[in-house]
Amino acid sequence: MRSKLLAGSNMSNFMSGGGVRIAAFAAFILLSLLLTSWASRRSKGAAGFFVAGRNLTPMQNGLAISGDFMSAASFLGVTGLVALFGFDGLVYQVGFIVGWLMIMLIVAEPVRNCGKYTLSDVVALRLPSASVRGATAASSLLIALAYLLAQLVGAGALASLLLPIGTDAAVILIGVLMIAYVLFGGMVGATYVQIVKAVLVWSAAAFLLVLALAHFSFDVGAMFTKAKASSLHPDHYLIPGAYLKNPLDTVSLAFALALGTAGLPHVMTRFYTVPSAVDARHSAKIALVVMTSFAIMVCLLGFAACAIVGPQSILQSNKAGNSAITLLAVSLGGGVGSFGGEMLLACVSAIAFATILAVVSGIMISSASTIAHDIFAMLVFRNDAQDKRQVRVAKIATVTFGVVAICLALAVKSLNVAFLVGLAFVIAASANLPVILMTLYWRRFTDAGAVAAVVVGVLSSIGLVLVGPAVIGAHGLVFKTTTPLISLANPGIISIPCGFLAGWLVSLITSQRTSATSFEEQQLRMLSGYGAEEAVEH
Amino acid sequence: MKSARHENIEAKEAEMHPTEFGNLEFDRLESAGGVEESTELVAKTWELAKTRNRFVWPLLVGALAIYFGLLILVLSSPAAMSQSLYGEINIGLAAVAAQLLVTVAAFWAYCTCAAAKFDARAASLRLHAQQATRGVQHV
Repeated sequence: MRSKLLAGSNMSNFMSGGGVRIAAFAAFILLSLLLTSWASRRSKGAAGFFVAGRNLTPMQNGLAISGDFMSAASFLGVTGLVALFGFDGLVYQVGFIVGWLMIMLIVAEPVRNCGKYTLSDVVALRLPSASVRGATAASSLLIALAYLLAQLVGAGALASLLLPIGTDAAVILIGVLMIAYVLFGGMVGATYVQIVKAVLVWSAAAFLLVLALAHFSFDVGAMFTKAKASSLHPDHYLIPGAYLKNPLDTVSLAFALALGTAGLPHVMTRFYTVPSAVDARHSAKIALVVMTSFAIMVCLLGFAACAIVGPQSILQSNKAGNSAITLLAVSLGGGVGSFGGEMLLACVSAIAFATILAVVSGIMISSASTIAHDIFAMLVFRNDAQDKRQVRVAKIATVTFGVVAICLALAVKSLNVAFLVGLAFVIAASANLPVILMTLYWRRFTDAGAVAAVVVGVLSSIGLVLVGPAVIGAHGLVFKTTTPLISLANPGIISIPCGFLAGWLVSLITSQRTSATSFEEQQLRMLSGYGAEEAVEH
Repeated sequence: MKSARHENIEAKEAEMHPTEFGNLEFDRLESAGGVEESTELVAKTWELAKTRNRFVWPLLVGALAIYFGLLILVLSSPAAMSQSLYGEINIGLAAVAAQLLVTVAAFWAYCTCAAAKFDARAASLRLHAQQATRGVQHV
């Protein structure tokens, strides 16, 4: 209690609701920093910094992976969507879960066996040319930047709902903490923050759900009936079309989510942190259990928010519905001003903020390894052996990339950048996924094919988003009076086939001259783990 | 069984381009007179790859097909989705639940199969590869 008091801004403020929230958040920061500094003693050298020495247990890694999934977008965004629009919120949430199927079945274990620190390492095993590494590193950084910007801007927008601090202060606070975790703790630090947060956010959802169900004497049917009755459009609440108005666009979004998750660099890096491919599978198993149960709880909480709080109050607080879960927490705790309400609100707000922090730290460490390992060690110095220099470069990269991301986030904070998360998934599915799949499973894949897949995938994704409704037109950023060139906000259905087609066609017309590892040898390593990177001894 | 496997190996060898053997590990084996060892390793690798791919890809494509099929079905006929199955649970909600169930079931099936069939073979392949290189180093 004393440490909480000291960490809170001041005594008088502490008595108000905002003070409790700040104290709860400060307690989380203190706890995670202590854990980080304790855990970081374990990390030695480049492998320690980038991939936690490949020494994490499947349980730890599984929780960290599920932590990446349980983002603020899921905790706050999906509950809001379900509360306001009902059925369409569910469709949206399930899309995110399906994306993990491809990772778990055909990507996670091969990547663990074939790679070292980054996605480019997997590709470089067979296609070692500098252009391929440069291309995959660039697309990975682009995805990371888009994702990071969306999270940071989101953090700013959520700040006023969660903590009594301004938008700019929230962005800077999250950004600085993110840099600190990665700088001092490396992958171990970023993972421990993610684990603590995963446990907290899952428990919070479970606790709120029990309270909400108790409100209806544990009759789920009664909760659904009440939610439907109190929604803004009872006849359309439990059928599609309220939020996702264009079915083709929804299918396109689902396409990007189902295929893009397997191309996200920060997700990929997580599979390097366990000792073997079998452990990678076990961590995926744990992650799936945690993620699926969380997804179901969050959807039920959305219905509960609609039934208990009501859509009018949610819309009044935030048009996107992001405050649904916080309003529900206050209501379940005993209402505004009550002790229980304030305490629950404090916990939920602090956890939501911690969620953003943990997710951006994970993205940061994978970006740092891409910059230090792929770009500097492999392309600039052409020497992967010097561990100390690689870690030093990674730390400089963390600060530089972090500061750039903070500045960009502050510059675009007034814009609606929700499309950036979609963009990250579309690029991941159109550029990274074709390269990973064709490297792992197609003998004829060539250097030129890999570069073509990345270039076409990235350019078609960005190009189509730029001429789509997210940027041009009434709901876009510029040229508000014109109609967008394509009606799809999510161009996945076009750009993903483009990326695959480019990789396939160019591979067919070119041939691979030099190769460090033959397809046979890669298959041997991918399937058996023979020659795979070993865990670092303690 | 044994002859079938032998035919399989021969078929694989016929498929393979000669230069595809030209890599470090197998080169070392061949130069040390371990050509047979090397081809056996390649054959064993391919056998596991084939078994795995034959199971995993249809499972993945099947699960994704069910997911997208249900999604398109749900989106294309919103009105039909409101038909009640049990209380407030309508066809649409059941379809979304089915999507989630198929995803979890597919992954569960993969884990079970991998633990029962692939893991032991992967370990034996790894041991084989380790012994092959060690044998060559001793020569």
